[in-house]
Amino acid sequence: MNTFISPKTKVRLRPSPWDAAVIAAVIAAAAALFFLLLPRGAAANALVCTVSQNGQVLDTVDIAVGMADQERTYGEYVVEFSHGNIRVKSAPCANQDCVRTGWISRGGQSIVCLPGRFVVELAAESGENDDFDIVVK
Amino acid sequence: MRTDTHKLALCAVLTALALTLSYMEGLLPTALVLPLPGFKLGLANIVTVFALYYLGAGPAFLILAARCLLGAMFAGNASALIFSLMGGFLAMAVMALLHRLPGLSIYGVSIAGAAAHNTGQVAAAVVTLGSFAPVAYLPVLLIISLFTGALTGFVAALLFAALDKTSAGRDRHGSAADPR
Repeated sequence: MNTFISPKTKVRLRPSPWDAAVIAAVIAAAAALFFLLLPRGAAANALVCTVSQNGQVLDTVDIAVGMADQERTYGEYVVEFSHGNIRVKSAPCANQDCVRTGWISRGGQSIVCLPGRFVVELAAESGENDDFDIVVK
Repeated sequence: MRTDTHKLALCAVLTALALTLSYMEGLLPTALVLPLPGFKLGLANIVTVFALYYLGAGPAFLILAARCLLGAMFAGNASALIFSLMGGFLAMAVMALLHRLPGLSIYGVSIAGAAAHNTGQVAAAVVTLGSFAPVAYLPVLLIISLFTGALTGFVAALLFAALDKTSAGRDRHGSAADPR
């Protein structure tokens, strides 16, 4: 890499200041998405877990404090609920990425099994609990 | 570029190279780092970057299409096709636009391509799963693409630097002594 610009192909082979603009744009997009996806105002005890496959919801589970530890079976998938943590315990897929993802416990987290089109999502509870219980000034 | 035959042979070699790279990166244990299947480093983008600069957008597009179709055929996995197509073509489109900008180096173009590649794959995951859950992975993937894109750009820059030293770099002067 002795040349700044390739003599034959006229390709810029060394980073230029404009490359920094590309990097800044990618970081800005990542940061913007990250903050957009942050769960808002989610108390740890107001989560709802949605289990879906092929885009269809199979089950919704309210994750409450003191909820009994349990395992639920969806076809060949076993999802374990333990102390507000959720994981895919076993799955029929070859790569086992969903099992390797491990435990999730916060709103906005998810476990995805692409081969089986199986998704476990955790979200801050919505619906009837939308109203403020207390406003503190 | 000497003749159409020369160009055709080069396209074939690049397609083979892209296929080999995308197969080889499947052997890397990237799933241990980021356990979402379907996502890859995008090493085959090295070939896309090279073809785009060296042969132009048209041949680069054909090489990409051949790589995606043959790759899915060899893997026997039709559902992987939508991932490589959406990732590959979004990256291709972004790089085809950006590589014309005189201010950007091959690094900036590669990084933008890698970011577009990951965005396309997340879009494919959203379509495949019918859920927006994969979007949560995009911020991390975009940051990772800075590094994979820089790596791709570095390798492509090495290629062009090497090319300048060979007979291929003297093509226009009709030197045919070197079989390469």
